[in-house]
Amino acid sequence: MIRFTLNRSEVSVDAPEDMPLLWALRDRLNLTGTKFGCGVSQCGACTVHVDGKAIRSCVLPLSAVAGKNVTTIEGLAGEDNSLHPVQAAWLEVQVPQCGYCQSGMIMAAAELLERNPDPDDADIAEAMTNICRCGTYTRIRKAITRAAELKRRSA
Amino acid sequence: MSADKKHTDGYTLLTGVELSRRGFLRSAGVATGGLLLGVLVPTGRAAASDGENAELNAYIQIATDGEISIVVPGAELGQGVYTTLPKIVAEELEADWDRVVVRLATADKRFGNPRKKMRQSTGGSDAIMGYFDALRKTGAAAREMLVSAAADRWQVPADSLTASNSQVQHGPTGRALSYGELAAAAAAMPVPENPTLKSTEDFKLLGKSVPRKDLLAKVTGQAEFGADIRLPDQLYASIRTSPVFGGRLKAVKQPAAGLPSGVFKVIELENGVAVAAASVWEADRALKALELEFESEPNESWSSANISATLKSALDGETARPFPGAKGDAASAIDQSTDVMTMDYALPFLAHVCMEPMAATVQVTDKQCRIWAPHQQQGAARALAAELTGLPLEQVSLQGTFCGGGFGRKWELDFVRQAVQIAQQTEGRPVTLVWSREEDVQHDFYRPVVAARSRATLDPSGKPAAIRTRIAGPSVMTFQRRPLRIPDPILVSGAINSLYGIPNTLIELAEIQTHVPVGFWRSVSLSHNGFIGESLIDELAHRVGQDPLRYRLDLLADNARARAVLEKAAAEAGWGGQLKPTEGMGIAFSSGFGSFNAQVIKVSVEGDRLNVDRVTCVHDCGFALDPDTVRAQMEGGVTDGLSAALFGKITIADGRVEQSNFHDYRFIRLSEAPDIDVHLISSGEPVGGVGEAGVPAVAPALANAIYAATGRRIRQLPIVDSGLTVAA
Repeated sequence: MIRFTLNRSEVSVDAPEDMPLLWALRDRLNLTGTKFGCGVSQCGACTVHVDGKAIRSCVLPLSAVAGKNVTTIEGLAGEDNSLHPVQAAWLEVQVPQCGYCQSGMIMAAAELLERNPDPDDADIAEAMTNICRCGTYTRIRKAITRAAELKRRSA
Repeated sequence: MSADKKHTDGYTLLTGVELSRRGFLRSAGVATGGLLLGVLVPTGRAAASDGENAELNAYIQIATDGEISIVVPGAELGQGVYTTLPKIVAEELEADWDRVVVRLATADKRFGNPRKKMRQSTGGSDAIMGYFDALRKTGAAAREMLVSAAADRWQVPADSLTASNSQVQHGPTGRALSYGELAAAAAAMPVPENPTLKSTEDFKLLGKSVPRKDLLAKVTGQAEFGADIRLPDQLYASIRTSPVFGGRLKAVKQPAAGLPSGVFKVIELENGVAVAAASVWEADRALKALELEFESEPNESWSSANISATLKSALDGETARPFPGAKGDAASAIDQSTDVMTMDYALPFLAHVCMEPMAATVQVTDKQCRIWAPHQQQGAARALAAELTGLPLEQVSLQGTFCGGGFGRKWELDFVRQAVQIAQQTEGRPVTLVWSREEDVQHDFYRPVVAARSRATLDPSGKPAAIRTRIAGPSVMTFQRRPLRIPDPILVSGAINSLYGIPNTLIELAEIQTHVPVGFWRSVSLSHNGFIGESLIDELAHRVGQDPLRYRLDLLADNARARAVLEKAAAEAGWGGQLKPTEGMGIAFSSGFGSFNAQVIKVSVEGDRLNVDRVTCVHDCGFALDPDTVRAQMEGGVTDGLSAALFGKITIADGRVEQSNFHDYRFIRLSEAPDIDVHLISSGEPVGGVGEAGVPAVAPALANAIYAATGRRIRQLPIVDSGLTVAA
């Protein structure tokens, strides 16, 4: 049994210690918002936050999150279900197309804004290494800039 | 937040969240009762229902509380049909758009595309072209039934009533009834066969950008794709098939120490092995522990080198067949000319690499087969499952899920076949098959590898007098065992754009056969022929020292619509303006899918370092039903086209694909993606396609820009093979 905090609740998972966090989330805990895209930390569709850091969960063993604080796309909104500024900006800019990579994109962007509340295009390019096969990159750039504004306004 | 997901019936709450006006999430109630209308060709009476799960196949359901649910018949691949198709219904229905919820269709012949002989499939960029008239009629018929119900209720003539915003109003008395109040009575009205359609000037939704209905679910992790269905007693499966195409499973050896934990069953298939287990990862772990032996003869002798040699001898040979639609006599004109230019082009196999690797969920019992799948051919996938299980079609259901990309890959039935075959061996337990990325990259239906030879002569003014283009490549139709009498248009169509005023043109196909599966890749023939044709035109323009824009405009003297698209792209991009010595601009034009498209790309090249600075894309699809969605598709098509042109290449060694994942099959990343400036033209021509139409002009505009900047002519893709590196 591995115990950790998941989206503000305590959970315990009965799974092999070396099962990547991604599959524990998806196939044990039925939190399917975090996506499988490559399995080798290339595409970032599986990005979640572990103790506030953006991590690619397809290569992170479950044992590594014991006692830690994990946030997935399902837990990014506030406790009152108010959207995170990144989610709100994503809607405003109408970023997603197929949407499959967007959970990971949003988690990566949310962490970027925690580290850097006012990223420029170069900061965004450096931080956002996830793959979007639909090609929503131009909108992602715009939405991150917008999310930074929304976040400053709500701070 | 609960980690439990409930699936109590055949479909899931794909639209179970919506944004309230205050920006909070709330659960939408399930619509109950009211009017159900489900018909493209309405006859007789509509069916009423008061059960929440009744008549899932109907297009329109109006609940007594006013919520209107509309089915989207096509597959949502990211292209936005989830919003745009229901918008067509809602427009004619005069529905309150804020109260419309959308449902992904089940496989059902009533949801067939009229343009595809009523087959329910999504491909060829024709969802809007195919469904537009039928969905208008469906919405208008429902509106007239609601109006008739109100006329009955008030005992006034129907033509004294108006409908808007989900209400029927009686102007003279100021009375109004909501659609929710009228729905049950309306359901009993006869369905009008020829309802009056709105005049396009009266459109309130169509032609305007509205927020997509699927995006809240997509930014909160709620949207369900093929691997996201959760059912009681569920299993998960992973699969390995013969790395050499066409190979067969010979032997499976279990490890001496036994299989790792979590395994339900090892399932042998004709060409591979699947493991059903407690999770995808446990299934995959067990697969890795198995020793698999395949019979791969004779295909393991194929390699990219011998495929290239086969292409070359096909180009050089005498067996090419002419494609219908030739103009004049290009062969004689070229034979008699003393100044013939010959250019060879080559493009590789391409994989689709949808972000969502192939996935499907299936449950097979002796009484039914239930499928949840992200599929571009819902009807064919359902029929295949009936064939495999031996169940009557009515006992087989398929619920479409969101597709994590399609691009033509999810047109293929292979993964549904596998998922059904696996589920036939899991004792009635539902099973979700999820492919690894390696399986996905190595078992695709690839964009055909193509080599082309274009020969051209010019008239005294410098215009092309004759172009003869020979395409060599493997035919998709032959691969599908549906060979055509004519050369496969999937390979040759559009190799010379027929809109150009060139008196003598001839396209020929020299077909080759390899063992590599080939299929439809976003924009199909134009994904390679756009590059071949528009590179050639550019080369001819430079040959005679003419401006490539001017050269094209002259060839399109008879086509004002085409000229407008090119002129707009040039104007928006600042064509002809001052550039630095390291910079260059390239232009290209394409027509296809009922639309016209032009692109101008600006690059800078310092040494061998290529930077794609900016793309200007102009699209004319006649009338953009949702301009922002069209712009998004152009941005996506441009990015896809750039990635393929810069990096995309699948190679073969020992009969198998050499690439395996995103590290060696590169897709463009944000740091490499340029700004894309999209402009739409509403020419008022019939609605045209969007999803694929942004791709074809990208690769040639890019190659033409590199030529303008450096004098280096790229005739072979991908561009990184020419020694250029892409600046991040």
